[in-house]
Amino acid sequence: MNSRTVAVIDIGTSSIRMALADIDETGNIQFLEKLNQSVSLGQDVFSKGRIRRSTIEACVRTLESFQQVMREYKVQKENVRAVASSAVQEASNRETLLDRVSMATGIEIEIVDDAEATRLTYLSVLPFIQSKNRKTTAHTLVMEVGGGRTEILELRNQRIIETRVMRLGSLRMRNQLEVQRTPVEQTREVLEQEVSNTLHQLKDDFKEGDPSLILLGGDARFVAMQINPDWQRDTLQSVPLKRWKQLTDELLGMSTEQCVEQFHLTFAEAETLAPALYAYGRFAEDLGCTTLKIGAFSMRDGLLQELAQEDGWTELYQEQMLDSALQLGQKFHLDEGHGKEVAGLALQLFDELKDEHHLGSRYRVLLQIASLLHEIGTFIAATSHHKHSMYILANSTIFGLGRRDSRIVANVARYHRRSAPKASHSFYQALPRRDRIVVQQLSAMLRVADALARSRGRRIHTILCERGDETLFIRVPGVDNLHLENSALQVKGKMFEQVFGMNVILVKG
Amino acid sequence: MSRSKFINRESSWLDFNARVLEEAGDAKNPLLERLKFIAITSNNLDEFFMVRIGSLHFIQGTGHTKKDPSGLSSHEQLKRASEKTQRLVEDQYNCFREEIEPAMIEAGIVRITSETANSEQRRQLSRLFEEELAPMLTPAAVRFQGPVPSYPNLALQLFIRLKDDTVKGKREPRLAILPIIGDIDRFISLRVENGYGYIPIEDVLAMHIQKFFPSDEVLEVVPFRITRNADMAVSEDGALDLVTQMDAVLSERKVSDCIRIELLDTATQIAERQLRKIFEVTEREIYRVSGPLNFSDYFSISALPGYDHLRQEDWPACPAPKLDLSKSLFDQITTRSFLFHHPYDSFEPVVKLVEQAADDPQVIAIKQILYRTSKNSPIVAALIRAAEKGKTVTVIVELKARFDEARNMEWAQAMEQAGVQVIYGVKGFKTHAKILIIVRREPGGIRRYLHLGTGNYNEGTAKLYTDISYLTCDPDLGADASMFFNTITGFSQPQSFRRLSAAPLSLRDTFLQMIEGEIERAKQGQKAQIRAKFNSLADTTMIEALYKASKAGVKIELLVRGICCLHPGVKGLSENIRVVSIIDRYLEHSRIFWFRHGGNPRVFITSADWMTRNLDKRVELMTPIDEPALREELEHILETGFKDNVKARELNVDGTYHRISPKRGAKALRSQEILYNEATTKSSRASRGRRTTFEPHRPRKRTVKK
Repeated sequence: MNSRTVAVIDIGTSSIRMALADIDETGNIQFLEKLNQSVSLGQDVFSKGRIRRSTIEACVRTLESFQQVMREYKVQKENVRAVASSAVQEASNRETLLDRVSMATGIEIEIVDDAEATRLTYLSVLPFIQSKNRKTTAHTLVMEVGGGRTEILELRNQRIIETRVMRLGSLRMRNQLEVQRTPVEQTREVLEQEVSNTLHQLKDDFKEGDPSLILLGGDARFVAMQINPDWQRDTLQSVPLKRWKQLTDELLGMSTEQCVEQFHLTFAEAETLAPALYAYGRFAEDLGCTTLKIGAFSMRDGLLQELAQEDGWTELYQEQMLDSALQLGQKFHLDEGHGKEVAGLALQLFDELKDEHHLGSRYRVLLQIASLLHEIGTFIAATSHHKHSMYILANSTIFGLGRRDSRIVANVARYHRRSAPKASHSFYQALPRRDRIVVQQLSAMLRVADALARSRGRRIHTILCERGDETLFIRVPGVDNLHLENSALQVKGKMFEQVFGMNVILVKG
Repeated sequence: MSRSKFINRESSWLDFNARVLEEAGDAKNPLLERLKFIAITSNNLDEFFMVRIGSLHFIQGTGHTKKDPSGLSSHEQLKRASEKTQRLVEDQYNCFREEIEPAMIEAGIVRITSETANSEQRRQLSRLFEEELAPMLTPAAVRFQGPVPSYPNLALQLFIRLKDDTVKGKREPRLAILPIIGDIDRFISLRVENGYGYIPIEDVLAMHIQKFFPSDEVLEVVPFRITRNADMAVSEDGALDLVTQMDAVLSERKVSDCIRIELLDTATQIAERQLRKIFEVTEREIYRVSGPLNFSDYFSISALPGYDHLRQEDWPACPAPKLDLSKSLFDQITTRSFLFHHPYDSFEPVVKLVEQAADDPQVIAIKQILYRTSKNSPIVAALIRAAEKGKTVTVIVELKARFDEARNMEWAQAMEQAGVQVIYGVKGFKTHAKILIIVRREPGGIRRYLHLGTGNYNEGTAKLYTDISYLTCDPDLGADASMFFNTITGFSQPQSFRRLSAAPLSLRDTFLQMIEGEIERAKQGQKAQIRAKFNSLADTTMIEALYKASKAGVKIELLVRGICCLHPGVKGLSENIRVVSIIDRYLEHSRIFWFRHGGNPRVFITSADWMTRNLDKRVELMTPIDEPALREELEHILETGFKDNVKARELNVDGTYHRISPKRGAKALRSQEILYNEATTKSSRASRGRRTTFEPHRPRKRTVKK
């Protein structure tokens, strides 16, 4: 069995964390190391709007030391993912940080936007709720109050039905307290103002159906550890709301220094504690939850899940991705019937040509989505609709697709007609080599499938492939007249010929 | 209670050394072992003076008045300590003079003096003086004006009084000091019939002293030795627990740094006065002795070849009864964890593990903390080899390991040159944890192999100190261990461990929680019990916790070899606490903690003692041992220790110790002997069960480059 060691780095508002893990062929994740170093990114950004020079250097130093640990395990560059969240995202000089880090360490930091963040959170929660009793997780709200933003995911039967990201952050709240030089006695008042504003926005969105509430994040984990020092990280720790509020009250009455002293925390950890706990408690109260459950998963787990799933997604996950793709299609008045027809044929081709393309099941899903949505650009205009498809897909969020995936899908859709990839196509050229090959293979198949669906009458449902020397015979049972398809193939089959080295011939019956 | 709740630390340490001396006085011990105990006593005292007495001097000199936990000021402590030391030294010399030396003479090991040397021996010594000693040594005149030259610490020196000068009708004393330094043996072997003769070097020099002063009359030659204050900066073991503001103390440093002068009691009062004047010490710092100075040098005589009948029988370490060293240790550790009790069990498996790691192509990284290690350590050699083979090797070297700096420097640099990442300690803390991590990339993924221990990676001391080694590849411990390493190397901030506890982070809290747990159980009417074995108990918080536990009804039994500031058996305070100290041929050094935990015992091994320095000022580790079979082994070690009625002493209510002897008709039980015999039996049983295989030395496989 072969395993690979991967590293995921999360550049948060108050710390940089890295998890190193082994992923085996079946996608099992075994943690090796977890590192954590405080940085004052949130401090800088939420008060000044930019990252200070010294903080940038502190980030570089931290990442350099992380790199030393990665070297120890000989982690390959393609197995490293580094993401940055709200603090970096909002910094006016974020590019300076990204460039400086890239230059000093070769680590490329991706900035995670809200959609990406919730997706990663969902990925981190999913294995947990899948393995547990469904009854308790039938309707779940997952909430994380981060330093700069608060995420809420509503799940029903393991599917996302609603996500919310709000600019409520524990570090932002702390900043408010500092700016106003709030005395300890008035902390609660100031926090209440901040929190109630946000809760008001939520209105009654999440109040139906008595959901169970799972809290994530370092501040919540702190509570779990206080309640149960032997807390097993693969379980949820329940905390009665009453106990939660007691602890919050206790913390509200303490200065940061006292917190550090009493709980052996770093200043960065202590600062966010009271605001975060207050926000969680208020939210639970509003929902009428009497018990809060704390989970130990984080965005890093989501990143690891994603790395582990590089060779395929679970069925449930795929369904949600397709649902999300179709939703996007509806938004742009897509001819869903045609999309589905092409996708069905494209997938048959994909399966028949396994020995030719050697692509994993992950790419099958990408082909499916690209096929479904290849004509989405017609919403803008019929002329050059393939180009419109490309930019719509490149700039929309389809649940489950990471940045790399989106780019592949957008390119495949773009090349479903007209010109094959060229050196002058910058969006294509920006892809890594590996992905460029994938795009060529998938678009070649998409073109053939599109040709087969030329009549738009859903005449062809099943195809059988036979290989001759340098020829692929596609047998179409039960269809007499293939003129239309054949003439389409004259144009659309060229790319296939170039990519796979076979010309395509349609055969009746 | 009129008495203080705590025993004075200095006093307790001196009691420990008195117990060591007791072994020298024990006629049941073989003669050369008794001599060795005399040497150990002296060696111990030297360190005690430099570090503890030294810092008390310091503090006294600065006028700080804070009292120690037993309620004594530094002045009182110093006074008591020196009185007690005077008595101890007297006992030591009496023992040597009245018991050991007569027995040595009877056994044919004879100390020759200038009076007893025969003419042939005299000729031999003259030649030695002329050819070897005279060219190497130079006496220096003592002048009272100008700066005092720095005379060597702990070295033997001769003080020479010459006939006074008369300057302008005034008599001026003429004095010289001859430090005996350089590569010179302390004892010169001399031919004697049917035995071994030796003469101390100071006597040889005294015999020939006139040759250094051809035109002067030598009035008196006095061998002496001075002890200096250790450099406070490196001495975290100093009595600084008494001083809050160390910097202030350092800047106020005015006191002379000589804190002890030992000299022969044949010295005249004139000589003593002049020495006191030269070294600026009071009468209290003078130790007059009635025999050879610096017994530590007698280690060499106690190891004299050919006198095995005067030594205890050899107890060779048992070759790893449970592990097959000729096979991959990694494969074997994968199947189960192993525990070794050195020196009964050989240290070889640990050395072998590092060696196999260096040569194993699957190993990608090795991390280790080296505190004190041996000069030609095979572990260091293996680490260098591993680095040369491209593995990532990280070693934390503790340079502040007391008095070993120069030695550590040498091999640390050799490692650095080979590409080992050497980290010279952690700022502000002494790295005392004993840990080795081997990271191996196996087909099933990364696996971490660990050695966690109570003793240093030193094959030398592993033959003399009792210590525990634990070999495991438990993934939780592995993750903790990596995290621990990342934390102390500054790569990551402290995070909570799954199973390990580390000082200065959570170790003290873990101990207190475990004690608190027993207290709670006792209160709820459960059986509550603590058993532990370690070296020193001086931390007042821990002692208070034990008092509280005793009051709650927790039964506490402690095997504390050295310092113990806890008063056991005091009514209403500590009647449930018993403290036993074992002094035998091996230095008791393992640290094992056992908590009843409601009948589901929790057992730990650790590198830390219950001293403030260990819990707050050092990087230490504690490992839970959860495998039932291994836990039982540790329980057995404790059990055996508490059964000892030959080499065990129990601490009395009044702070003194009494020797435990077998009750009438009961069997004499010597714990170290029992453990040794058991280890031998186990080992021979295991080797019988194992087929003899021969392993030919084959040429190394070479990979041919195509």
